This record gives sequence, C-alpha cells and structure tokens, in this order.
Amino acid sequence: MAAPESGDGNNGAARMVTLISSDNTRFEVEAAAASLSQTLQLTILDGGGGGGDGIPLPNVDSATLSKVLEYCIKHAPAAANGGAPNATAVDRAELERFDNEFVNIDQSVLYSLIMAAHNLEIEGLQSLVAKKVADMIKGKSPMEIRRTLGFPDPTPEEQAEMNAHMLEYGWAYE
Amino acid sequence: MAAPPAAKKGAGGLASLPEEVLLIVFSRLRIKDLFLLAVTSTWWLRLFTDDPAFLRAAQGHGARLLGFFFQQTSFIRCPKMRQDHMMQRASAFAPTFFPTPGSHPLLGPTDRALTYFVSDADGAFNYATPLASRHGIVLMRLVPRSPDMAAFFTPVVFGLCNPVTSERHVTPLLEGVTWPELFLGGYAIVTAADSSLDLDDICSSRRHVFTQLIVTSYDREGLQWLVYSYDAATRRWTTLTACLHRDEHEVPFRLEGANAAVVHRGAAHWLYTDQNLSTCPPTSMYTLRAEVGGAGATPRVSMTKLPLTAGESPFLYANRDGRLSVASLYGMCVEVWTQQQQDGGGGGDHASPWLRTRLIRIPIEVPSAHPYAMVSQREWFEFNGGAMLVLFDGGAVFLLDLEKKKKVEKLMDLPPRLFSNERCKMVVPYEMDLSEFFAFQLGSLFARWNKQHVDLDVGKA
Repeated sequence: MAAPESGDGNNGAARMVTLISSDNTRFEVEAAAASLSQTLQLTILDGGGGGGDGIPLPNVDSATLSKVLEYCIKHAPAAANGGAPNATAVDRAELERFDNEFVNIDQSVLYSLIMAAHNLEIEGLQSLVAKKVADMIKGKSPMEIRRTLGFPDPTPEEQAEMNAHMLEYGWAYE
Repeated sequence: MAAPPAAKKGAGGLASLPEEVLLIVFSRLRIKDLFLLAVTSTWWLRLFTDDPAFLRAAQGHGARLLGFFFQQTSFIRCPKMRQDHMMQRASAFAPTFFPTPGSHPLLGPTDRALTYFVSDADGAFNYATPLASRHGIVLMRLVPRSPDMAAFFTPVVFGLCNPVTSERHVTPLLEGVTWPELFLGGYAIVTAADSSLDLDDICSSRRHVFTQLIVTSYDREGLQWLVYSYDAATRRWTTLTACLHRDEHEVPFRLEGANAAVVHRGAAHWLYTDQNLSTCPPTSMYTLRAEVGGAGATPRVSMTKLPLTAGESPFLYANRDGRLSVASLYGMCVEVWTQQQQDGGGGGDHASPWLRTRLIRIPIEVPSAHPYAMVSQREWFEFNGGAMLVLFDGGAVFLLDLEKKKKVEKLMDLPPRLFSNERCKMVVPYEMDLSEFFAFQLGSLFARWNKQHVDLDVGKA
C-alpha cells in the first residue's frame, strides 16, 4: 500500500486547498492529501477549496482536523500511487509504524477521529480507528472492558445479576 | 431507540458514537466480544436488546441468509489421501464459509474456514461435507479415521456445529449404515424448541439448541427407506425399521426439494415423488413425516400421499402461518398449495385438505438476463419461518419470497470456482436470525435489570 515518501521531493507545484474547521481555524493542505476524503474529493475536483474560499467543515473541530490531516498527509503519497506496486517493505513498515503510533492517543480523540473519518469518508482512517477501538474490547472480560473504556463500576446488584446471567449462558462467555 | 443522554452515563464515551459508527467498530468483533460488551452496563444491554434490528442494520434483504457452506476438497479414497488423513492431527480441509454480501459483519466479509468459527484441534471436520443447516446449526458428514478406511464402504459419522456460538457436537458411528452402500437422503436438525408446544420456548434461544438429528437413508435401488434418530443428550442412535418399501415393479420414491426437513409442529417432513423424471406429469407427491421425540423416544414415521400432483421442482416449506405448503414450477409460474387448518388439530395431518393459495409469475427481469437459466438448473432452499426460496443458476443466487414480495431478487453470485468441480456442488445455505438470537440471549438479563431498577425507583419514591 505504501509508496516512496515524497515529503522532501515536493515539486512545489502541488495544488493547495484550504479547509476551515468548526471553530474557524484555516488549514492549508495539498489537494492530494485532502482528496483521501471521498467527501472532499468531489468538491476539490470541482475546483473548490482553492484561493481564499476554503471548504468549511462544520462537524470537525480544529484539534480533530489537524489530526485527520496528519494522517492524510502521511498516507497521500501511497494513495496517489494506487496499488503501489513498487512500494518497498521498508515503506510499508514505516507506514504501519506511523499508524500504530497515530492511534496511540486518548480515547476521546479516537472517538472524534472516527466520527470525522466517517463524515469525511476517509476509508483508511476509519478502519484504522475502528480496529483500535475494537482491540480495546476484544478478548476482555466485562470488568476489563469497563476499565479500558472508562465505564463506571456496576452496583453490587448489577454485578450479581450479571454473574448469574453469565453462568446461565456460559458458552457465550467462555 | 436513542437513549436519553443521562442514560449514557454508565456507558462511557464510546456510547456517544452514532449507531452506524458503532457498527463499523462492532464489525471487527466476534459475537462473543459483543456479548461481553453488552453486559458491562444497562445502556449497552439496552442497545442490544431494545431493538434487535440494530444488529441487523448492516444487513440487506434476506437478512437471515448469512452465507453458504461448501467443501472445496472432497475426500477421495485413494491411498495417498487416506494416509494423509490418518496422519493429520490438526485441522485441514475443513468446510469453507462464503458470506453473502449483506451478511452480518461478524461473519464476513470474506470466505473463511469453518474452523475460524468453531475450534477443531483434532481435525474431526477435515474433509467434512456440509449437508444441511437450520437455525444456525450446520450438519456435516465427517470422514472418520478408522483402520479399515481402505474399505469401499465407510462408516457414517456426523458433526454438528454452530459457527456463531462455537458449539460443536460429533455423533458416534451410525451403526449398520455404511456409505455409499446406503445413500443418505433427508436430514432433520431438531432443536429444543421443536418438541415443545410452549410458545415461550418456541420464541426463545432454545431454538438454537441442538437436541436431535433424524436421518433417512435409502438403498441403491431406492426401494427401501430407513429412518434413524439420534438423541444429543444420550448420544445414542435409534434405528427404525424400514419405513417404506416399494416393490420392484413400482417406481422408487425420490426425495424432492431440500434434503433438510421442514420441522414443523413436532414433526419433520420431507417431500417425495414417485416419478424419476419430474418433467413427466402427473406425478404423485408424498410427505414423509417423522415425529420429533423426547430423549430416547422412537419417532413415529408415516408416509402420506398428498391430494396434489407435482409440477417441476416441487418444494416443501412451512409458511408464515405455520402451515405446510408445496411450491412447484409450471413454466414461469410458481404455484403454491397450502394445507388447510383442521378443527381440533393434532395428529390428523393427512386428512386436511390442500388449497391452491398462490400463483406467482416469475417476473421477466431475471430470465431475460439468462433466457433459460432459471428453468435449466437450479436448487431451491427453504428458510425456516421465512418461506423464502433461493434459486441457483450457475452460481447466481436469487431470492423469491413466496409469502410477501412477488418479486425475484438477485442476491449475489457465488464464485464460479465453487461450480468448476462437479464434486463440489454441494452448497449449503446458512441461515440464522442473529439479531433475534442475540436479543434472546440478553433479553432475560435486561428484564431482570430493568425490574431491579424499577424496584429501586419505587423504593426511592
């Protein structure tokens, strides 16, 4: 999936677009990166977002948008390369390392990110975050899920009922 | 469905995500993980039990059809394969599950070995052939490892499993039957809800608990049919005497439609005709009825001639009102006959009159794509309770709801590789109402929690 990084090989002529977050912060970014969003891609193809206009994104705040763009900028070269047949193992490993670190963040940011990825239709980011959130639940006991996701502890009565239920449907909880 | 924000308090930030986003996350979890998430707090429990449609949201039409099971590698009795199989101590060549495009995210989206869902460390399911499926339970004929595997006739052993719950069951040898000396005909997967007349039982998770297997087999000439019953609790087979016997001058009986029985009102039913070429009407139709028994009981078996003649591809099913119906094809029309209710009910199945209840023209849009495809090669499958038929045509899967929509819908194409090998044509549709199942399992807990909270509220007041 990855391609050689073009961070330093920027040809300077790349088209830029401006995105405006819900709290009115302006982000200037390469059209190629913003086009990772299926939603933005159409607008950009239509010539939108250039010059002083900017594309307003009323559902995404600036903290989330900067994070989203960090992802897009990193992934844009690989995406532009399509199937990336000449991607080396090193590039792929680098992108994987980036992804792993990228989602190593506070839960509330994860939830904002997946919402933004969903609204902006950024397939890769959406599945990256979904995988991270799923991993926080996968293979855990209800108590561990509560701890990980920060749910409050149940009342003793709730706990007793739950234990009885899990005994009754043991197969589901083995 | 939307819980008030205050109720989300115990559910964490994850609960703030809209359902469509939650589904994206849930599609990466096994059903067991969802169970465990559901019992973390009242809010999550309510999400899963309040609206069983929630989990169905990702599915399209034909939500009950989750996919198909098939065996890609058929076991051939050659020395090499026998030796390999004897040596195998791990899972290999288990049946493959191919999900429907709209299948539940928990089972999709790509094809997987059955052993992804059900553990099979000893390789009991190696080379297993899927035979039938009902309420999420898959029935397979296993290839037992025995020293006399060189013999042409092999003993018969069945495996049953539920890919959703990971439950598995392997039967002991079916004594006295060797394959292919006696061919296996019809199968009935019986669940705990089938032998009960209690409505609460029927509409409960008990319908997913395997209790009994009924198998019919026939000899090479099709003159003698035998019925066997297996009880899951006692792990014993009951062999019944020959239930049907045709004289040599008579036309042998032939099982029609699905080999999975219609299990209905305490009995399993299969449809038979006495004509080998179903294209030569009039053909008489018969139902073979085997009572579903309690532990150790010997099911009563009877054959009844129906007051109908068969068209092409006759097919037995239970309609939405729970009555036996036969659908058959006349040209591009599907004719449905339904057994009428009898006063008093119970037992007197055979005497009930049959009426033609539906005549459905297969709309032209399907056949036009393949001029004769629909009529040339197809298999019909029943969905329990849904009365939905799946039509096969070289891999294309069509759905025709005989009860509701008078429309044929194309659901998907099965990969051609399934049909490239003659021996691999045995494709078993897998159906289960997952959301309903899920809600049943959690429903009782929710009811208890709810009651407790009401009690607490009352206490406070």
